[in-house]
Amino acid sequence: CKKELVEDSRSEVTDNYISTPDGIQAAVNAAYSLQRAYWGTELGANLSVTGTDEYTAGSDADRDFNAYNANLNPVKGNFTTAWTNFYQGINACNAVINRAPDVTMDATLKTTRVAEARFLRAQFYFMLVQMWGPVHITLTETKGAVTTAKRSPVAEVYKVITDDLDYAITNLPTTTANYGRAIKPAAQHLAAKVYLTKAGITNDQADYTKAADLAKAVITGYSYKLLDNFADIFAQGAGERNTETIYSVQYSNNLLTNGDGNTLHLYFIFNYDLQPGMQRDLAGGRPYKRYKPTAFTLNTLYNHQTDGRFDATFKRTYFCNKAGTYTINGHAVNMKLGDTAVFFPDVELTAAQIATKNYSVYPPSKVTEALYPTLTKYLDPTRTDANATSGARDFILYRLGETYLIAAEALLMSGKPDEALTYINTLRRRAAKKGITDAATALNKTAMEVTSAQLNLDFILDERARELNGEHQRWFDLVRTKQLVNRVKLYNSLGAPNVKDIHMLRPIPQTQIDRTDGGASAFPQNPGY
Amino acid sequence: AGYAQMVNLKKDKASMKEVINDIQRQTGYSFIVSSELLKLAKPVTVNLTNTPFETALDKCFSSQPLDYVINEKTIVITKRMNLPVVAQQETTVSGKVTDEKGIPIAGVNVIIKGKAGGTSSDADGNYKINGVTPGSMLVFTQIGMDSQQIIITNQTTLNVILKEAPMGLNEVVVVGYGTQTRKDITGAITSVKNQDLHERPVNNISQALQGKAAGVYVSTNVGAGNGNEPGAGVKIFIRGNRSIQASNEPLYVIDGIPINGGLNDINPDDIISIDILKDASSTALYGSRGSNGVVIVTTRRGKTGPAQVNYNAYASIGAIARYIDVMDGNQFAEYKRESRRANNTYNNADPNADKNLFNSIELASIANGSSTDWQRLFLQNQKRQNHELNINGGTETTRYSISFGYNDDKGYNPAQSFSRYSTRVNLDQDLGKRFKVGVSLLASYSKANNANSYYNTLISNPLGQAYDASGNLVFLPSNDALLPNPLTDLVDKAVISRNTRMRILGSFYGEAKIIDGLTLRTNFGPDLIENRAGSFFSPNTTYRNLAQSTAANSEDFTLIYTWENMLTYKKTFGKHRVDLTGLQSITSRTVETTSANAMGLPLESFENYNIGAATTITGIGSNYNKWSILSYMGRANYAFNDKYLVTFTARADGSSRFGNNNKWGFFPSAALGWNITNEDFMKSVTAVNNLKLRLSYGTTGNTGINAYQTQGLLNRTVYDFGGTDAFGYRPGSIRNDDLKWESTTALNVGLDYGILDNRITGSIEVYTSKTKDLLLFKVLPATGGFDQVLQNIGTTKNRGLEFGISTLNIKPAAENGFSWNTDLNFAISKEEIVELSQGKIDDVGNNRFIGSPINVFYDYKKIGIWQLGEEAEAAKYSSSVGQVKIQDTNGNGRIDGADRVILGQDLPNFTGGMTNRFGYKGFSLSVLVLANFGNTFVNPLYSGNTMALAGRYNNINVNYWTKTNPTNDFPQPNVANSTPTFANALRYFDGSFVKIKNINLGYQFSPNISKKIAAKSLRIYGSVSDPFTLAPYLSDFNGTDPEIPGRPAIVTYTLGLNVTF
Repeated sequence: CKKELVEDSRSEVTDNYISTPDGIQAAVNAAYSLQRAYWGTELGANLSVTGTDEYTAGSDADRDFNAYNANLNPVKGNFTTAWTNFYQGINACNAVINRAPDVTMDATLKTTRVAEARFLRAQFYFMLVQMWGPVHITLTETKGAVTTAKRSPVAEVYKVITDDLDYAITNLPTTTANYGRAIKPAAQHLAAKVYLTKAGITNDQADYTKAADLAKAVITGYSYKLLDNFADIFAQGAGERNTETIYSVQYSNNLLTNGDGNTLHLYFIFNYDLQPGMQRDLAGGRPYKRYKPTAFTLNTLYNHQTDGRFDATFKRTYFCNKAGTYTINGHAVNMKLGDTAVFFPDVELTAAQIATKNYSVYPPSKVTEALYPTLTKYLDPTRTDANATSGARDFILYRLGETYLIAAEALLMSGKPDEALTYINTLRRRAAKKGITDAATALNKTAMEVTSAQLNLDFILDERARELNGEHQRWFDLVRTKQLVNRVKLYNSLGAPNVKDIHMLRPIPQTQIDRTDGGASAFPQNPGY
Repeated sequence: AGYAQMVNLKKDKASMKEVINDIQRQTGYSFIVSSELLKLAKPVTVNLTNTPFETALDKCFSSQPLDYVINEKTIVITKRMNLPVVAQQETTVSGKVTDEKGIPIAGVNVIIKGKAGGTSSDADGNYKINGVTPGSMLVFTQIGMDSQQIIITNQTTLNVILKEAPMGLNEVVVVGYGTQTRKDITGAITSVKNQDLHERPVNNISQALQGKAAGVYVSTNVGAGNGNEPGAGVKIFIRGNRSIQASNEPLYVIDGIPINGGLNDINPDDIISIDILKDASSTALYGSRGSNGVVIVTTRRGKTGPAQVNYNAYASIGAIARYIDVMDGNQFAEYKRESRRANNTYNNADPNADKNLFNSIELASIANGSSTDWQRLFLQNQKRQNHELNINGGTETTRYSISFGYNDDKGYNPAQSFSRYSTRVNLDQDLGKRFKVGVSLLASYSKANNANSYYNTLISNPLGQAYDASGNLVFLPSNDALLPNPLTDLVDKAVISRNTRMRILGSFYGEAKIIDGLTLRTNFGPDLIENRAGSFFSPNTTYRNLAQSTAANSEDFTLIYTWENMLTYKKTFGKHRVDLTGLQSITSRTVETTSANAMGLPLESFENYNIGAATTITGIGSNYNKWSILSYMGRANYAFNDKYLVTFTARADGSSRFGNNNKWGFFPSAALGWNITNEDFMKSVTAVNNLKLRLSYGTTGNTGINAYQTQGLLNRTVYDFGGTDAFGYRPGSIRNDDLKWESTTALNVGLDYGILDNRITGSIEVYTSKTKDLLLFKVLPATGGFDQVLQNIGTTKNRGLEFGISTLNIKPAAENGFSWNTDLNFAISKEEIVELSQGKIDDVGNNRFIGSPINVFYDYKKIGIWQLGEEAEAAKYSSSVGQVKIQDTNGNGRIDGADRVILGQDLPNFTGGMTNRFGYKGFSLSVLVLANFGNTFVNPLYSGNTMALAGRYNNINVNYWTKTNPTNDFPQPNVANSTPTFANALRYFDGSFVKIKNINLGYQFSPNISKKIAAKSLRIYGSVSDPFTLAPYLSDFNGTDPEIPGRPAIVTYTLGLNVTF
């Protein structure tokens, strides 16, 4: 009878499993999957895209992130979620790293898996330290209920990150049969970024040098190369796996492995489906109206004549997909399928000019929180239907374009503007607008080139905004370069009145403080919150 | 023999009746005498002081033509024999036992008081008993009937009529692992009898408890407020909530077998009584499962006699009494305009304003003044029928009851239906004098369709057109891509959502009388449940909105068995009566589930029957779950002199679900009862017939956790590498070997009373309970990788008062005269959180507050609407005119989390029910009134799309703010906001109500008429359910029903028939 009281568990797995060869691999997979809690979600975009010079709130946004208002406080759910997810990821990595030595399995495979876990752990800690500054470090798997925690100095956190990345760079293979696993160049790219960021805090020239060297190693050491056509980077499906993509968080069309999917396709779309002649369709996507490009992004950032990235990044024209007779600009229009239905010109139009158009037209002055060009990088027409939220796009986390920019920034900061310029101009030439003729294209390429006199940190920040617009980099870029307050005040009218230096760090989740033994004295809040 | 009791009696020519009454009161002995005999008595004159009882009797009877016999605690008065009695002649008495309708009752126990042995009535109600001496008393007993005690003078034929037992002292109460008579009960147990259970046509017997038992709250608002939908379940709370994380639902026991889940599989007609155990003494028998009270269900068993055939049937129509009040076409058009005026995009002065705003379909409807009432197009009258055929009877040694039930419910939502086929076989077989075996077997099969597209009728544009000119459905009636025509879901086979359920629940027993009073019983109860769910949604439905079709199958198979061995010993030693029970039991439950979901079916005709043919498998899974409980239980009842009652119980439960260090729990209880009426000093209080004080104290448990929760489990993760699956596992929960049950310690004081010839009876209960070691997730700092761990922490308290009274207001002057009686009960309860996971600190994140009830609504409080002239003030709060004005609770000049307040609690703190019954000749009328006060509910209609106030979806027809209508009720519609700011503050409503739940008018045909159709009994009835409701939600908000706010209100009209052959 006593046997009856022993639990008969068959569809559940207990923690001992991780100590097996299969279990180690499963835990590594789990650590990868936790990347999806941030990259490819509204959470990740809230914390990196909005509240910057690039993006402001769309009409259905959670405005707090953009407005830097009082609600951006320690009880804000997104902070807690992100914090919790990163530490869950770290705990999964710790389980792998701690247990692997006692697991009997193929030694090479084991080393690779541990190196992957250390890559991922570094990545999670890097996110934490950038957002919150001094954070708790735990390098061992948690057993039992732990209610103590402390904030370790930023330098110690960076030490953990660089140690992990050193190990990863040494032990990761340069290629993998399982596309999407961490490989050596991904670790190098990440390390370059880490050193660049760390240098912003330490002002240690050696860190800039390391960053530049690591970036150059990625650019020259492998077969990566910039695609000719900027828009191709975001061609969905096989196109996303291009020679420019170093590492991406994986999503798939297989609903069994896709979880909630990449949902970023939802958030950058305006209400196109309410426009005359338009209805919601798969290509247009489901408009959640969360993030609206700032006027700076739309009107100032790009040279619309020579830089091809503006049109490759934003969809400004919509074609009729619902024929009918509509009243547009005060007159009846009989619209046929394929006719222009909506257009966002980049110049102002007079009322008289507008009245002549047979489609809805929104020049810059008419752009509102619900009417704005759509960022195309995340649109996902492979979804099952127009309203499906689960997207299949890989989230391109590290790509060569950014490696160029890291190299340029690091070189510039280490006093080598000329060398920096080569990377900037290479990238800019690739971005040149395609002309009608090759000659016209060549002219544009030349026009895109800049001189070392033009090159400064501000330019590099702008260049990053042009190249990486919407790619979850901006808040971190502005914090790293200490330009957050400055740029938000300049270019984000909603955030301008409130943004302060304290916003260069996020508030520690209140639950973390409340639940730690000793409360706020043991785990102090970031200043200003 | 006799008891050494003293009698004081001073009478001068008093009537014998008065003398008997006095002695009876002083001594506690009861007298049995017929009125014929009393007529012979002469006036009595005595003067006795502290006279021994028997001497006193001798003095009183010395000059009388009457004599007496003492028989245990009963004094039987007989005619004095003129001849000296040498040896009493033993005779045989025979006769027939029938009920009030003249129907023979089989299986009635007939014994000679004070003598061993006895007999029982046969199939025709006939009995024959030997060894009767004149003056001895025959006792006729039958469960559910009042027992009869009749003195035999010299007759040899005696026909007896047994009446169905009202709530009397001899009423048999099922107390869990046995029965007791009401007068011996020490715990707080409410019995709901046959009549109360069947006055109202219900699909689920739990519904019938509503308003019938104090302290039992029946919530029909389960899930998304589907209480009046076919096959909808109900939730029962006994004495409120105790637990925060674990369940607060009671344990159900059917024919002795504890079951999982509610009573939806049981045909209500099979159930003859429900006993609800409420206090710790009664529920401690069930140990780690007893904390939330126990509902004991008893089904009908056969009696010795010829086959009796009962046929019960009813048919009912549920008419929609109140539709949900959404806007009509005109109101919607104006609302849509207002939503644009709010952001200055609609200008009244612009002649083209309407043309620019509305599309051609809408414009046409506005021009014609037409409006589509989607609810009325979609809904229908609910139709229900129920049939039950029961055959029961038996021989001396075999008794059976077999029934077949059929229930069919076609909902007011045409996409929904429920039907149940059930059969029950109850068999009892005597094997000689000492052995008995039997079985209760339920087999039930039910089929439900529970698609739900009703909501779409509420948000569909009333200016849209459901049908085109040729009568075909228009898929997008208002050209809005997110508003497909809700009627498309009603197209045959477009939407399938069916659930089938099969259950076989058995209880097999064997019983052996080992020696006199000692019985061994073994019970084996297997319970097999099979659930299958299948769904299919075609592209042309609101569910899929032209996306690919989906189909899903899921199945779960549950096997539960309970095996109990029980030893009971009942014996009376003089004034001492003992009743001992010992039990050993094992229960085990295993559930296996499988599921598959797919998208893109090549043929619609596949429905969910060929999932493998789909283009995409979207999910597939299976699961196994098992737990077991081992138990030992002991109970001792002791009664002294029928005055003092003591009950001790103890149960030890070992559960697989608990942590390795805490597998076993021990749950003791004690209870005292004091039959005050049997005390000498009460003898003179003639107005009081029964007064009993009860006191109980004990500990019960709540297992409350699912299997495997004490183990450190891994969470499964999904990922892929370049399209190749990469499933994983990560640490998911922290191992906790110390995890154990929640324990509730409760004190109950109860008073049972009966006064004025028992015309007023009832009970009062006062209780307080404290639940500690709550199974709560202790929150952890997330830096460890876990944000919570399940622990035993926290305490709640629960106090309350329950009051029940039954009065016979008008006693029928003659048989079939006018009668009126009333049952009234109410309960007041107060829950309180005492301690949480971090001690006496509020857990704001989970809406838990020290000193508050367990489930409260904590949110912003609306205090009005910002009015014109308040622009500056509104701006300070980042709001604007026309928007919701929120209370700035802490006055810090802005609205933030700290301004939230507790707006109400989920359970009412006052619940009451009153049943009035009137009888005259064959007519009977009963009226059930329910009252609920003090609860708040979240109205699903006042948030989301039905309260978006954004000028897109149709909205609840509320009084919204405009510049010309400066109301404080609801904010101005505004197309720029997808929902009003602080929309959540709009959804809380007072749940109080008083309603007439049911009126039942019946007519019992006289035997002369029923004989014409060869029936022994024939009754017809009509009833109306929910005819009248008084509630602030109805009067102030034009709501439907505060019990089921998300659905239309239904009034059900029923015609029914009960016939016995």
